[in-house]
Amino acid sequence: MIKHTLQTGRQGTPMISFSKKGLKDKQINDIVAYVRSFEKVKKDKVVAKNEPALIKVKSSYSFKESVANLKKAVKGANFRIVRTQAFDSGLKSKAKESKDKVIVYFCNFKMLNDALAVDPRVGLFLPCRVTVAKIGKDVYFYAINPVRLSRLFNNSELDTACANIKKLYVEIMEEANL
Amino acid sequence: MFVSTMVYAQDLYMVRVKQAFPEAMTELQNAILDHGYKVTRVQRVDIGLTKARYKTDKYRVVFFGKEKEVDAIVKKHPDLIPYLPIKAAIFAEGKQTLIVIMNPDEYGRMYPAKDLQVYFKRWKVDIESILAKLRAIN
Repeated sequence: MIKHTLQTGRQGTPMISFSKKGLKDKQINDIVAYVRSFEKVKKDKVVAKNEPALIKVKSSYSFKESVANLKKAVKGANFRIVRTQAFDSGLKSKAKESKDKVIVYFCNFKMLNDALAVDPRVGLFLPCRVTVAKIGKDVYFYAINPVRLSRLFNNSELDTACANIKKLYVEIMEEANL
Repeated sequence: MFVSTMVYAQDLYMVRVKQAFPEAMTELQNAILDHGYKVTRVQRVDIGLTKARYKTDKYRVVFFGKEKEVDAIVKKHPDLIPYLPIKAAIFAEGKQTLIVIMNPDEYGRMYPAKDLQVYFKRWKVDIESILAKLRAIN
């Protein structure tokens, strides 16, 4: 994949073809080896694998208050709310949609664009999303753990971004729970 | 011609197709529906993308799932909520289109409960079939 990208470039991105720039196969192989040396794969992958799959915080408030608090915290963290929807919206008719599980989607366009510019595959986990769910008598905030998922991309440039997004998720949930 | 390459045996499935974005998007959604899933939403993730030197404004995330399956999972394993429904990212790269989906094996690693593995295995079969269908179209 790395070699192919170096050889052909990536259309629609600033990545040019190194073959067209005159690099020989061996030189490209050397670059591939160099790029792979950035990975620190084993250590980082083990760390990420030990991360929990999700970020989960129990709310001290009612379901309705938790949703309102979450939205306030999202805005307070300089994010824009993209959409609020029932967890199962689109899966069932409006009348049957869940009343006690709500997803709040939000984003900060600079952060989104920066992440996509580093690796467009990361859009798979964007925009940011926190789900508020009433489970039994308790209410929880749920989000994916970006640090756990960062290993999927094998792109060390994303690790810092994922750690920052995780920190933001935690801060937003804590703020919503104050 | 619709030519594609797929990277298997990875944590992320990635398929590159030579169809333009709108056609590839239609094919993806049709393949999802053909496998018994509902497309619950198509989310834009490309606002301002061109300002980041990325020459595409064609980037979407397609959410899909099965109502009964999602209900059953969430009832017993609410910790899976943030990962549902399943997502596929689709974006233009020049005249080609790329589709990225998380390998369901990763769900199995994150959620090892035995009763969940049946779902993850089924998703894996279905997703590989969906992507194979995209590869096969001319």
